[in-house]
Amino acid sequence: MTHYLIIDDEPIAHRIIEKYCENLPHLEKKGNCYNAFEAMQFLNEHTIDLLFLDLNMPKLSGFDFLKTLSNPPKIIVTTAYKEFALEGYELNISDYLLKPFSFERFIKAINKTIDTNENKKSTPIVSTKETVPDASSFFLKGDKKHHQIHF
Amino acid sequence: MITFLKKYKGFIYGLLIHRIMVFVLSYFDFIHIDNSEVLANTLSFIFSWLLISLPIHYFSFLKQHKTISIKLVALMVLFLVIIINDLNSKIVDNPLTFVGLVGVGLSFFSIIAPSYFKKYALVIIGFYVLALGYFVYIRVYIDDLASYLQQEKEIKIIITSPFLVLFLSWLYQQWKWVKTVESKKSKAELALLKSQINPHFFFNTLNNLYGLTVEKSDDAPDVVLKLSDMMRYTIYMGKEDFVSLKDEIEYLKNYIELHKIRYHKTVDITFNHSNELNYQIAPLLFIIPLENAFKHGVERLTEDAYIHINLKTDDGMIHFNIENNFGQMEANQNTGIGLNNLKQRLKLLYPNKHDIQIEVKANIYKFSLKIETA
Repeated sequence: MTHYLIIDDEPIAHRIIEKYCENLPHLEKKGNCYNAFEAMQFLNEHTIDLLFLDLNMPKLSGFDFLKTLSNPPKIIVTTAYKEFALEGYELNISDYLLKPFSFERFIKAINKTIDTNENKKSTPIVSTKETVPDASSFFLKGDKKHHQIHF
Repeated sequence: MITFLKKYKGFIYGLLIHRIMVFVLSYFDFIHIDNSEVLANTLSFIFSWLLISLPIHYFSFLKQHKTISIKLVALMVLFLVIIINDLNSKIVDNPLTFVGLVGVGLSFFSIIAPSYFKKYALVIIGFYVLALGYFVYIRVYIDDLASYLQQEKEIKIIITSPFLVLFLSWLYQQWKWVKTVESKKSKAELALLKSQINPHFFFNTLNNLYGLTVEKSDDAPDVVLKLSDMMRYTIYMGKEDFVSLKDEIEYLKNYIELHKIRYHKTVDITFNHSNELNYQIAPLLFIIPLENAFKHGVERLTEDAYIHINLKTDDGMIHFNIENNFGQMEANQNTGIGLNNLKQRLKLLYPNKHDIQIEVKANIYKFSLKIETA
């Protein structure tokens, strides 16, 4: 079970996410917050696995709030601003949803966010397979292309 | 076509006067027109036609700028004196005529394009002092007509060609100037277009609308109508030079209504306006301070946000006042792009007919704009 919290100053945005999550039985709502300070208080008292975060909020922006968290949960940013995506990924968010977003896009974000947890265990096995060196050639990335170089 | 003719009627009057003068002068045998000299006739026709037409065309300008007209008249008299002197003296290539004509030409140029002339004055005058000095040396000092005639052509070219160069480069500069004015104007228009549509407002509203339609809410149709009204207004009316104040107020109201549905918190927004709305005004001026009030006030405050708007009209004046509270940390972000754009546009649209007052006290921001529409 994944517990989530919505932080957004617009109530209709909350309702959209709640509606989507009703279709996903493994998600359970823990609370609604309408600004970052409410959310801070809430996080002091509860543990959360997943956070839906709006960026443009009163007093403290979504990212500034995120920076204050010492042990942040998984974050999915929901915003109408497309220009902050890069900054978001620097802060280790899982996905960035541009309002308005469809249910399909939402599911994709959820799967990506929750799956990465389990994928982490399987990745080392995959990587050992790939590290067997191929001595005859190697690939070089440059000019936006991959070049195969033979010995 | 008719407006075109009206604008350039000076040239038509000039043509009429020209024809009458030519007729009268040739009737009394003051002038003789040789019909076989086509080029000379055409050139002198164009020259004399323009000479008569231009003063008529710029009559109002000349009336306002007395010193320029006096200078031009003096030049004309000087020109005539030189020509008459040349005709009477019966000397081949009279040096006085040469020096005089160059002087008249240069001073005429300095009158019609003073700043341009000043820029190159040193070069031009230096060149002509040398060229005319050389000419006078050959023509007068040596006093040998045969050796002068040998170089006659070159000297004439040297003396006349700078006029052509000067004139062409002046034309080029004028053309360049017109181009930069055009690009400045289109940049200002672009800035207007950019300032009209705040994309985040539209996307946030669309998101709310999306939520309402998913819920099949009864509010959804109303939001669609308001949003489409706003979009229609920004897309079409934003291009107009003037719109009615009533439409502009309707637009502001839609904007406020759409904002109201967004918030969880209660926001106190009042909009008072007088009912005498029979005014024309440039579009999308008031939306900028209103947008700012939402952006820096309502969106930044968690509670007790307010916006109070007053719009009064009296005797051709429009008084627009907006007051809002804001969060403390926003205090020093008062002059943004939107406000600068607004100031720029007001300067272009209502030069010396508007007044902006901004007052920031504690957590309260007051913006007032007076516009004289008449």
